[in-house]
Formats: sequence, structure tokens, C-alpha cells
Amino acid sequence: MASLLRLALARKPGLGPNGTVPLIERSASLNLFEGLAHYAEICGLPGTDADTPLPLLWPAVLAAPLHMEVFSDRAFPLKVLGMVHLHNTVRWTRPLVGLSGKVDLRAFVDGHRPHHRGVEVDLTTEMRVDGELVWNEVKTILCPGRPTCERPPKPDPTVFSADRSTFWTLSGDLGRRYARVAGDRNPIHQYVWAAKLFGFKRHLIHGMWSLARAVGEMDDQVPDAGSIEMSFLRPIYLPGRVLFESGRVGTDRRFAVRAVPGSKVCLEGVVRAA
Amino acid sequence: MGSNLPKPLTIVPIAPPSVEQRVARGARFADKGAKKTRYDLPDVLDSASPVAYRTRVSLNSDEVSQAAKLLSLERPAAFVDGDDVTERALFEECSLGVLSARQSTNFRGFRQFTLGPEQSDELATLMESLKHLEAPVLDNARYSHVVFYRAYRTPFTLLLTFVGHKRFKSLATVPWRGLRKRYANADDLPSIGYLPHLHVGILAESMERAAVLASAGRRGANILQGPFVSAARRKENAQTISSIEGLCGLTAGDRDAGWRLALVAQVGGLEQPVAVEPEVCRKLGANLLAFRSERIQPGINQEDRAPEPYQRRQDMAVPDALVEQAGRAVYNAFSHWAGCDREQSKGLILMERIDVLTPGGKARLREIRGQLADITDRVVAEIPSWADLPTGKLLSRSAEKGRKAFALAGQRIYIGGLSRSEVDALGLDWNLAVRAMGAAAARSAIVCELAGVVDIPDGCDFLGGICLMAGPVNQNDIGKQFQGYADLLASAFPNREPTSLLVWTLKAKTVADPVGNEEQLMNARRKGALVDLRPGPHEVVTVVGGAHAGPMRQRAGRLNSERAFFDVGNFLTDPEGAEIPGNRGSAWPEAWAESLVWKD
Repeated sequence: MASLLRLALARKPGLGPNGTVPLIERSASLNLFEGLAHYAEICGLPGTDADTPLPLLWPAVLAAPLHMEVFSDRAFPLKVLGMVHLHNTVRWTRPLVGLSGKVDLRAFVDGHRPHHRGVEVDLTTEMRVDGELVWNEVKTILCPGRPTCERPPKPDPTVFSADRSTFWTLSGDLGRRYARVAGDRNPIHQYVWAAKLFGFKRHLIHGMWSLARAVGEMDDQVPDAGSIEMSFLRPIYLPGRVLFESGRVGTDRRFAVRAVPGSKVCLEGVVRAA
Repeated sequence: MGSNLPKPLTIVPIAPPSVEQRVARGARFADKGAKKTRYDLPDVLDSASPVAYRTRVSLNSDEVSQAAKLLSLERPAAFVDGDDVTERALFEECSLGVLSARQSTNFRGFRQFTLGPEQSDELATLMESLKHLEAPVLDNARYSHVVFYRAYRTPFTLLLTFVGHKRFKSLATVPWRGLRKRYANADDLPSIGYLPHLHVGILAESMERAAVLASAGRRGANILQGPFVSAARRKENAQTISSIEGLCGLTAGDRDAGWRLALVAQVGGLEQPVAVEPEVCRKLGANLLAFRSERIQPGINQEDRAPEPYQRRQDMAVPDALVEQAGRAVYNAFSHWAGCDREQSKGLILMERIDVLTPGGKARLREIRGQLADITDRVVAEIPSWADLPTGKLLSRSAEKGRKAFALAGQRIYIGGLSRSEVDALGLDWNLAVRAMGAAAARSAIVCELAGVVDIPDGCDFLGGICLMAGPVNQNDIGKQFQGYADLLASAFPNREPTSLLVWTLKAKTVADPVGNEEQLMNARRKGALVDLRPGPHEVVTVVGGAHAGPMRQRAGRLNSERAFFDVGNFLTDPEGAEIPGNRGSAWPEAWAESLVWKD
């Protein structure tokens, strides 16, 4: 918590007129299964032994300390306070089954893109097994600030006919429980009062929990090798109830999580086979 | 010497009406801001039940003839080594058994403990010492379901506490009866006491079929209930029953709450697998989950506000051959479950058949309706004011609403019952005979329901359905106990002391009942007064033994949202294909669903 506070309050120079985010990287060799059982339990997923496919988002959780180090590097020019996770892309090249204990993880940022509410930064994480890149993730993060480009037109909503459709009931303490395994102790996920300090009406669940659970719902529809691209559109407040829907569009599998009541999309994405 | 071997059954299709008379429900979502009615689609389905809002699946003549084999199953003589059971196969088997049983008489009065191979061996050893077994206990069961039941208690039975009292004495007799119900499990009416046994019989019949269906014919069930059917038999077997309860983990608190052992189903590999194609099993499983009570005959007993499809009368005939097969199913099932031969079952079962389309049938129907209406009028008039007025006439309004529970409409109406003295004379246990009657009615109903899904024409929901109900019998029983009426079957079977047990109505029609009737089973907020909700597996089934012992499909903070036989895709939508949010559910994770429940 103290390191999170230090990171949040750290003074950052910001990007100069021609400045950019330099390459900052961290890597480590980590035990793949440490904490996995607890993570799977919180997210409602199978996959806690070498014979069961690894939860697709788990390497991203495992790499969380590396992410913290990247952002707390003196060379990282942007403020961490107020960062918003906008999109996430995960790619994997083979089924994540039968992996041994140790894997090599590398996380890095390199450059930025303009955004109508500041700038966007990609935080990339790679997982290698015996030197082979088997999984990577790109978190696209908004660092709020002055607009650096025009607001792009809103894309048309993706329409699909759901062949899977189910409700999730999220308990009020889910954010705290997930924070304990994922290490993301951002106050907006912890308590109502803490979230209110940051302008939210209540505390909200981590986007990565929602995505992990969504991937878990599609489970057998997730290909052996492929990608998941998704966008976080609205917060999912706790405690709460949301509707998960998924359906096929051509060879893709689309999915969305909608707020209940109402049906505004909180999260949407697509799964593609490689 | 008679035989209790079943006579083979054939499913006789029902001819569709003329093209102009073919209608379907075509339910839609209520317009925004408009008041939702029972004719509108539900907004959502948020339930752990494997059932969901389903539609009938059309079967061709070959498929339906394969399905017919499942309506004449024989008790396995031995179990052979078979496949290990996957979690999904077990879930689907339970979905067709304890998680759905039969809609019109569904009451969450069951709990099931499913024991793995080791515990099944232990159970089999224990059961060898039981008295009154109706068949041998088999060795080598892969798993066993042990089902417990409890007395039937619903808002309807609460209402019954206030029925049949004298005006001033009611101040004392109502509390007295209430206390006897609570602490001595005493029923207000004999027919309420029969209900759990009818349900157990229906469940046994479903479970036997479910074991075969969920394994595509490879496994079968040996269902034993004789030692547990009556208080006297339970007393004789008390020690063994106590050991079985211990094996399941039933607590003293559970026993105090009224849970009693109902049946044991041993499941194992069949020497001679039942020849049914796996695809037919899938379709049949999905259909069994779609079969619902059909109470409304279009143009006959629909509400004035009902949409247009319900207002049109349909000229459809029930083939006599179908009626014959439905009757054959009754006798097959009764002899199978009561343990008597077919000829004896023909003599024992008292079944009045009312052909509503004949003048005599019409007159008889009017007579029954009149009697039930008179009984209801008196019930409403005589409910103690001291209880009714302070509750805003809740009791009398509930009694009034109960009329729907015994709406009699259809081309054919059957009233089934037994004579207690004749059952005793044959040396059969009365409760076992009541269970067999429930099973017989349910099997007969499925024969008709299958006939109703043969080659369903475009634009129709089905071609016929059944409403199986105890409501008219219970209402008649109120009349018998408190108002001096005779049994429903008294005029058809004079001098035989009949006790009517169930009524079922066969309706040839093409439009399904309002979806609101199903919604009150699935949605706690729209729960009707006389029904209970469809349970999720974690609420009813406990798996004993294995790596994941405990409530079925409760794992890692997740509850089931998979609909059994979802691959068949028979989910209700609006006419344009818009889905009911949550209706399709979501598959249980493959790594869990395809894992073996009990690894060797």
C-alpha cells in the first residue's frame, strides 16, 4: 500500500512538447503457480494445476510487480494517479497446458500515442517458456491530460446474437479479495468512501477480474492459439449484478458485460483464433 | 400366471389441424412502460436451474420410436464395469431427475446424496440386510443416488390449516391443527399425505430414464424404495436406514426437520446397452426439460384478455390408438413399480376416462366442475373471519385463486385412483402403490407429450400436451373430509371404495400455455402461490466422495448457470429470435465438466 501511495504521489515531469515515453523494461523469472489457486478461486476459474489450461489472464497478474516497477521508474514521465485502463489485448501461441513451474516474464513501455483526453501508453508483458514467446499482453492505458488529438467518431456498437448469456452477482468485498491476490490495491476498488474520493459513486471491480471471468465463461470456445481484444467502457460497481453475453460473428466470438438494471455495455471484446 | 414384463409401446402421432387453425404462442417482450402480463416474455432469467425457458424439439418417426424404448425400461439384473462418469453426465442425469421431476406436481421436497463407487459398495452391503426389498440389491454400481423427501408444505397447505372448521370452535381447532402439522407432520387431508408418495413415484420413473438418457444407453438404474415406503417398514429397517443416513451425512437436525429416506437408485453399466442413438438422447433430454403443464385449451378455457392465438378453437382429434398406448403405459409402469403383474395392475387401477367430445363426457365434466366449484365456494365462505379479515382477506382470495389449479379442459380427461382395500388384499403396500400410480400417470403423460412433438409443423409449438395435477383431487378431498361429498371416482366405480389420486388432461392443440406459468417456477419475484421454484443443483444435490465432494456445481465461488442439453438449442425467443437475457446460461468450465467425478 505504501509503495502504491509513493507511486501515486510521485512527482513526474510530464511529456515535453516533443517528448515521449522512453523504453523502460523489467523482467523476472517467476513461479507460475504461486498464488494461482487463490486467483482461480476468486475469479471462479479452473486451472490450478499443470494439466488444466492456465487462466489466460494469470500471467498478467503474476507480472503486476513488474508493472509497478516500470511505472515507478524515474524515467517514466507521466503521473500514475488517474491512469485509466482502456483496452487490453492478449495473444497466445499455443495451449497454456503442461507448463513447468518457472516462466520468464518481461514488462515494458515504449512510446505513446495521442488521445483526446491525454495520451495513451501501451504496457506490454511477455511470457516466455524455454525461450519461446508463448503469451503476450498489451494494456492500453490513458494518462489523462490535455487533449492531444481530436475525439474520434464513436464506433458502431457490435451486434451479435448471444448463445451464452448469464448473470454474475458481485459481492461488495470482491474488489478487496481480488486485490489481495492481484496486488492491485487501488482504493477505487476497495471501499465506497475511497472510491468517492476519486469521483466514483461506489467502489468498482477491477477490469482484469471482469475480463478473467468473461474468458472463463467462454472457456471451451477459447481457441488453442489466438487473441482476445477488449475495451473497458464503463465501471462495474460493487456490490452488483451484471449480464454476460457471448456469441459468434463469423469466425470471431464476441462478448460483452452489461450493467443491470439497464443494459449499458461495461466491457466488450472479441476472441479470435490465430 | 401373469407377467410384469412391459408391453411394447408405440408413439402415435397427432394429426395437425388445418393450416388456418395452426397457431403458436409467439410471445413477445412487453412494450417499455407497459404492464407485463403472463402472456409476455420474461425480461430475464437469473437462475442456477438447468431447465430454463425451452421449446419443444420436433422428432421424426424414427427418433420417436427410439425414444419409446425408454418408456418400457426393465430393471437391470446386474451391472458390468462401465465408463467412469463425467461431471457433466452426472449433472445432466440429475437435471432430468431430482432437478426437474415433473412440473405440475413439483415441490422442493427432495434432497439427493450421490455416492461414489466406494460408498456405493458400502451402501449395497448395508442394503442387503433390508426387509421388503422389491428387487435384489446389485453389486458393482458406479454410483448411487440416495433421495430423501419431506412432507408436502406449501402456501396451499398453509391455507388448508384454515379449512373445514366450525365457526366458533375454529379459534381452538385451527391452532391445534397447525401445531399437529408442525410437530407431528400430520396432514390436513389424506390426499396431502399422498402427494409426497406420488412425487417420489414420478421421480423414480424420471430417474430410471435419466440414467439411460444421460449415458446414451450405457448405464441403467436399479431403483429400490420398498424398505422405506411406510413408517412400519422404516421401523423394521431402522438400524440400516440410520446407517444409510450416516453414510450420506444426514444430520439429526435434518431428521427433525422431517427428511425421510425415499429411495435408493443404484446406477451402473448395463450388460445390454439400450439401443438409442446419442443424438436422439440429446433431443429427448432437451424435450423432457421443455415439457410443461398445458392447462389452456384454446377457445375453451382461455381468459378473455388472452392474446388471439388462445381465442381460436382448434378442431383436433386425439387418435384412439394414442389413448390405447397411453393406457398401456399406465399398466406397464404400475406393474413395474408396484411389483405386481400387468393383469393385476389392470384390475387394481381405477381409471375413469372422460371423452369430452361426447355428450356423456360433456355432462360428466360439467358435473365434476360443478362439484369442485361448490366445494370452493364453501371453503371461501367458511374460512374463519378472525384469520381472514386481519390479513386483508388473503386466505379467501388465495382459495379463490386456487380454482386455476383444477381447471379441467382437454379432449380427454383421466381420473386415476386406487382402492385401498383391494391394494391391501393383494398384499401390496399402500404407499408403494400410490408411488406406482404417480409413476404410471407420469409415463402415460410422456407418451402423450412425445406424440405431441412428432413432426411439429412450421408455425406451431407442438401438437399436444398434458396437464397432470393433484389439485382437483385435493379439492374433492376437502369436500370428502369436511362437506360430505363422495370421491371423484365413486360414481364410476361404485362399491369399490375408490380413492382418487391424480387427474390428467390431454390437450391436442398447437399453442403452448402462457410463458408466465413457467416464469412463476423460475423467477422468485413472480413466484405463484401454489408452486415452488426450480432449484439449482447446489441446493438439492450433494456429491459424496471424490475430489470435489459437496453441493453439486458450487465451486470457486461459482454456481451453475449451464442449462442441461444446451447443445440442442431449444431456448425460447421472441418471434424475431431475440433472446431472453440469461436464458441460455453459460457452460460450466470444461475442465470441471469433463473431469471424472470419482476417479479410480
